[in-house]
Amino acid sequence: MLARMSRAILGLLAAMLWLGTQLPAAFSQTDSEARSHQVYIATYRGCEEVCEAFKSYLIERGLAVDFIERSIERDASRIPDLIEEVRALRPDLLVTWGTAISLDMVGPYGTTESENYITDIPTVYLYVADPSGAGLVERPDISGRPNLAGANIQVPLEAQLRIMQSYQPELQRIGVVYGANELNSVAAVTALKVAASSFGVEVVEQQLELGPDGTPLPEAIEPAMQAIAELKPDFLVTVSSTFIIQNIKAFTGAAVKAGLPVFTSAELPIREGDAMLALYASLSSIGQIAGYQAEQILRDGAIPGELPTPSLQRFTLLINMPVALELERYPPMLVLQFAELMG
Amino acid sequence: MIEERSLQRLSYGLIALTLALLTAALSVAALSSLRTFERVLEPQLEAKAIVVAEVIASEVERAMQAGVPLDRLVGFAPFADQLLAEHPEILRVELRSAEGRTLFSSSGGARPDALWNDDTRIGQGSSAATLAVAVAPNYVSDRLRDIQAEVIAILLVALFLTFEVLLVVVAMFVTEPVQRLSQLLSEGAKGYFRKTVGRESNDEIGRFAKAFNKLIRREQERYTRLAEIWRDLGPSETPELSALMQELKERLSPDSNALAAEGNVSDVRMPLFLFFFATELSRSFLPMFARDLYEPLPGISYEVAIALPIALYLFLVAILTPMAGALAGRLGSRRLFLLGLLPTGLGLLMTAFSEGLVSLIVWRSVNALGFALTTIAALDYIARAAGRTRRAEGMAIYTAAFVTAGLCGTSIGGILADRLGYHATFIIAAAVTLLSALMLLINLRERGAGATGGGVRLRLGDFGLVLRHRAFQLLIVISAIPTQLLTTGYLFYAAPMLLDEEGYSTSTIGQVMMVYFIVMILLGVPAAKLADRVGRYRLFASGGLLLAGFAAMLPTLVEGSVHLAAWIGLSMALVGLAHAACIPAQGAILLQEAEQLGGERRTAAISAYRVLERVGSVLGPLLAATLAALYGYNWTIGLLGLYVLVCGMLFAVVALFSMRTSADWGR
Repeated sequence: MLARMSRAILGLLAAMLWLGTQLPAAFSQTDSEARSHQVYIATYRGCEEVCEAFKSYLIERGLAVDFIERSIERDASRIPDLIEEVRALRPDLLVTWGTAISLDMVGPYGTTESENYITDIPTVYLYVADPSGAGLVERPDISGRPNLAGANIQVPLEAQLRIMQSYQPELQRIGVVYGANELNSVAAVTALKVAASSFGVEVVEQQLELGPDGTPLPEAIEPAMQAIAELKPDFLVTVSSTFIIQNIKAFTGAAVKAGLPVFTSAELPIREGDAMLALYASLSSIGQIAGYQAEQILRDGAIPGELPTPSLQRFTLLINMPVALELERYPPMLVLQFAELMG
Repeated sequence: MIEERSLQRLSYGLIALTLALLTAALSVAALSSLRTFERVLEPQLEAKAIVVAEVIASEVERAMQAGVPLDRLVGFAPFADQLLAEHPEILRVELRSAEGRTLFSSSGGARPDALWNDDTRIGQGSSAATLAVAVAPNYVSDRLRDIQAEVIAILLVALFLTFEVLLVVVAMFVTEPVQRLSQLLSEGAKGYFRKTVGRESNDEIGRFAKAFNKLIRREQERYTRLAEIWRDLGPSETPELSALMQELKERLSPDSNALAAEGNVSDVRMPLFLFFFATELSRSFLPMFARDLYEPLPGISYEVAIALPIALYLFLVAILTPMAGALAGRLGSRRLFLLGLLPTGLGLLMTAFSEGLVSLIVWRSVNALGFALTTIAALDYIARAAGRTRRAEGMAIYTAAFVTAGLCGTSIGGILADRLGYHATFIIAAAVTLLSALMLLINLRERGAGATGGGVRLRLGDFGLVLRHRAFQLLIVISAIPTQLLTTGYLFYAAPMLLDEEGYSTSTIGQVMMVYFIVMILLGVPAAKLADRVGRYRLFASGGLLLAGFAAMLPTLVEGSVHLAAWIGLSMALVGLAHAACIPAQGAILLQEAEQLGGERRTAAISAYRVLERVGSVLGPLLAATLAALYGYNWTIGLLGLYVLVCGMLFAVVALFSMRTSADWGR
């Protein structure tokens, strides 16, 4: 009872404190709401689904926002012009779409004041698959940069393994094929091994043969797939790799040819390639979670660098039915009831 | 003069008739409501089964549309099992091909008497299939049987409550005034008309009492006038006339003390019952409540920590009770009773808000203080009101209030805890305490304090006296302590914990524990009378121990039975029977031994014995908790039973031996 009462009193005090901090903000807010927030969005190829989801989130949350949209039309050489324009306009918030534009506009982690980068305007990065891996931020849970915030959109490895286990209850072995030249691939394989061991799952690997320029040869894909199929993995898992994304059709096609179902945690390999099973963040949820970060900066005046980086909790499960039927790997009914079906 | 026994027979007859009528009415009401349930629920269940079948069918259809061949469906059983887990009345689902072959099914089997429904169709043409569901035929009546047990428990409680209230009402308005009237009439027959009837209620007996009082007062007024005339006449010369006047004075002058000295035992019965009821409400779930509030205590293991609130409570009651005895003389029983209700109500209320083991222990200790004060006050009141001659009857009323409240409180408390939760039940208990205090304020008149004395004060030396005496030692160590230990360790601790572990609801646990109290109520008095008539107290004491030990071993002997609750109920009944036989016998042996002790410390020795036997009740939960950590609750109960059984054998051997040496079988 005493504990309850003291808790109630503490709660009351906390509420009063909160009111104390909120009231001035509420008054100033009426000022700022009279004027719309200027949000500058830099995109790669126009405002697509993620960008649209970001915009509608802010509008639905009742913020008065003027969007200034700029696309580089797949041409990285246009980025310096955008930087110049941002400097001139000084918007309330800069939004950078994708890893490349984000890195080119705010610079890698460790960038201080610089001619070439925006370091003094609040910025939210959008749709960056692996911000700490790409060197954009300090740590996965916080950006470590005063003007930068964003969100994690990767699917946790545990969730990936659980889905594979649901699809294949006697999951024993998963395979990875990658090029040793890409450091992010090597790191991803290591992380996958650690996570899999706690599920009692073995990871078997096959490295792609590298060409004279130190990058894998496209013709090395098929023999690598044949080799790993000998080890009889239950799934072939795609890891983060520029080479694989560039050759996704050939990569997944070779896997199917070798009788291997491909599991992926990105949308591209199943939409553009022949991956069988995907657990990924939907484009709209990626836009919304970035919008949540933007909202805190615009509405509450939060300092971007102080915002913890949130992670997505809900993902889309997609099954590529033609591939599943071809490989005769029919989805179990427990998985089926949560899955979206393709084809 | 009205024969006292015939009067009692009359009131018991009335009560029996009332109870029979009430039972019949309640049974009919309960049965007909159950029928209605069944009629309304049965069709609903079938409709629900079809809906479940359609949900499964639509998922199967989706898989087929996506290209999965019907006979190659993956994971049908786990999918169906997951759905059926929420619908226990559906026993089995089968996916059948167009030819009627069962392709896939859920993993549970269907009973032969299951009702099948195969109306749900999937797909068309060659890949057409049906989905068949099996529903348990008596699902509703099976579930209703569970409810019936609860209804029966409530019915029983209602009966005992009615009985309790009727007894009090009849005693207050019929038995006691009529007894008083007949006592005054017999005095009148001897020529004495000094006292009047106290209570002039507005009913037949009250009007009779009023008329009787009027008659007496008229005679008394006549005498008063005569006495005045006599006094005015001045000192008389005739000694015969003076003697006559003196005799008239003794026979007719009003006796002002007579009214005040009268007290009715039944006045305290209802408040006492309510008090016990309030404390018993948590009986069936207190061990689980303590377990849920567990927090680490330095130097105390988990098992001992969760048994501590119960053990410490019993310990405090044991040591506070003799101390409270001293207060009774000083404050008077009514004030002490009210004083005791204060910590009781506060303790119960604050227990409801306990958020950890420490606060639970603190508030249970406050409760223990309340229990000690209240029970001593009640005993003191009863002793004074009943007087020396009717003390046994007064004690019977005290015991009856305790046991009836145990029965009602345990079962009602279980049901309340199930429906409203532990916290709300404690709040209700606190409210009942308040009600008891209100009844006390209205009902109980204060008696002059210290009139009959609170008995001999207990000294430390008395414990030595008891402990030095061989017969006391044996009685305490191998008879009284095992009996108490089994009650608090098995009945009130290990049994609820085991049943809870096995997934039984609190209301079932309350019903099982109620069985012990029912047997005690039904057999307590007859068993004591039988022991008195046969006179072989040592036979009853050892026989009771042996039976109790065996009964406690029952649940372990049938370990793994699906009817565990029924077995424990049977075990409780047998322990109740055994305790009904051995507890009064122990008391009788105690009196005999105290008799032999002689001297003025005799009463004190009995009190010291009563304190010492509580060692068993304090040890009970602690021992049970410690054993349970090592062997689990089921084996703990068996071990406690074995211990009591061994004590029973030892006691029998010692009794036989002492019979041979002193030719005394406790006669």
